[in-house]
Amino acid sequence: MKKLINEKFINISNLTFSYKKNNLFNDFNLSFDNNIFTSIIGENGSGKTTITKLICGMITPKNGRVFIDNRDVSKMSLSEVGNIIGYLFQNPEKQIFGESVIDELSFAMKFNGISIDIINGKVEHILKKFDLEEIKDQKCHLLSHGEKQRVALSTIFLKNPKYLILDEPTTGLDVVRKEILLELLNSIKNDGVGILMISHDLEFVDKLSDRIIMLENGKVIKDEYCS
Amino acid sequence: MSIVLKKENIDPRVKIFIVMCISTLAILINDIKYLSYVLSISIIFTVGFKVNLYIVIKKFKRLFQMIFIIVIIQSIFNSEGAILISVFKITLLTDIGLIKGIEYILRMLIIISSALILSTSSSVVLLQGLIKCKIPYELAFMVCIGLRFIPILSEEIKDTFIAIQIRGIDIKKLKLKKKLELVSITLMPVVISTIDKSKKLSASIESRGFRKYLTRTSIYELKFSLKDFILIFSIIALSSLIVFSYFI
Repeated sequence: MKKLINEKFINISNLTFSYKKNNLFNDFNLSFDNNIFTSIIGENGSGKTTITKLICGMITPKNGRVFIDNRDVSKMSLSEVGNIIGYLFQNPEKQIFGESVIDELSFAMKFNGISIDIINGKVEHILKKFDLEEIKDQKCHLLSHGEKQRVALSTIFLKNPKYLILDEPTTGLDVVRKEILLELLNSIKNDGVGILMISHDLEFVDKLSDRIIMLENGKVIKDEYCS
Repeated sequence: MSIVLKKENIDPRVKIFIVMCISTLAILINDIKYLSYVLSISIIFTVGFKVNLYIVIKKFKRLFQMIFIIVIIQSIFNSEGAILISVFKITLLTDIGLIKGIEYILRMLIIISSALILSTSSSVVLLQGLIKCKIPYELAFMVCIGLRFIPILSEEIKDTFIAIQIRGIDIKKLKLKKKLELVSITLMPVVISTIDKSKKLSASIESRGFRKYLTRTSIYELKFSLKDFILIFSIIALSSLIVFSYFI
């Protein structure tokens, strides 16, 4: 079937957004390909997190539209967006609701009426994939920041998202944990999942990115594909 | 050195007094006509203090919906008075139920609109106002911190529900039982994170020498101006007028 808009996976078209009277994005256009690792860098307040929230429909633009896989985000519910895009918040605690790691992994599936057998199978697979078997019975609030992040990332993968948005995933991680995350993201990237990452960690960005976008005051000042 | 508040600013003690008068009237009065008068006074003061009512209505849309549902339930379960609506000999609505429901709405609107007056002062200035009203510092401080936490808590709940939905759970499509279960599960992290925040806040306050000295000074100096006296006089006059015409 011929695609209606264009071949890009995420399209931001003529978007205008402001926080109260501060105009952040004015007639902003940007698109993201699937299957590649894109990073957005920029100073605090440049609009990095805002752009990801606009993509997912967590906040509504004043004007303009966002398309995910040629579907208008304004006509989709958050849960519909969530089934296509996996979103990792800067603070993983924000998206952890289960008491133990296993509870957390089965949380969304339970509410979506999926049978116990399917849940168990999926959870087992994810526990192995994300190396969480040792901590599967631990209470989530007692986990370290890195572990919480791994749990949050693993819950996203239960839905097999087509695209992944990571909001500053390296915040609060030590060198070892960063290396583990790097390996994990590399394997996700090799599985063909498109990733959009916001980060201040330029070394981390450099190691993973196929494309780097630099934002300043809601404007793209640099957009380069890495060789 | 002290900073005298700008002349155009109303003294926080005046605002506290106005809110106290209006909310007391809302509790004492049990009459739709008089409650409407009190609500009108409250709205006049709220608008006078430059509260944007349109934004407030937009923000509190859910709360208003909830109040409306409570009123309907309250009216239905009230069997006193003459029957207005009944289905198969089951009383659904009586005149007294309806009156009580309207009174409840008016009372809630009065309390919400009058409380908005306090939101026009910063917590630091409000704290100073409470201290000048001889409220113990610790108590006044707790009130102000509590007020400061309301928007944080509301933001936290909003973020939690966004995080749930972005995980692919369509809350609207869930059955009531599942919805309640979801709320009970998700409120726990919100409560824990709020307690955690308050613990951090208290540690930070203590580390900055809170209660090191018996008496505390403030950079803000409160002084009554003519405007303040006019406002106090007008609220006393209006309240007295309503009290006398209602009770006597």
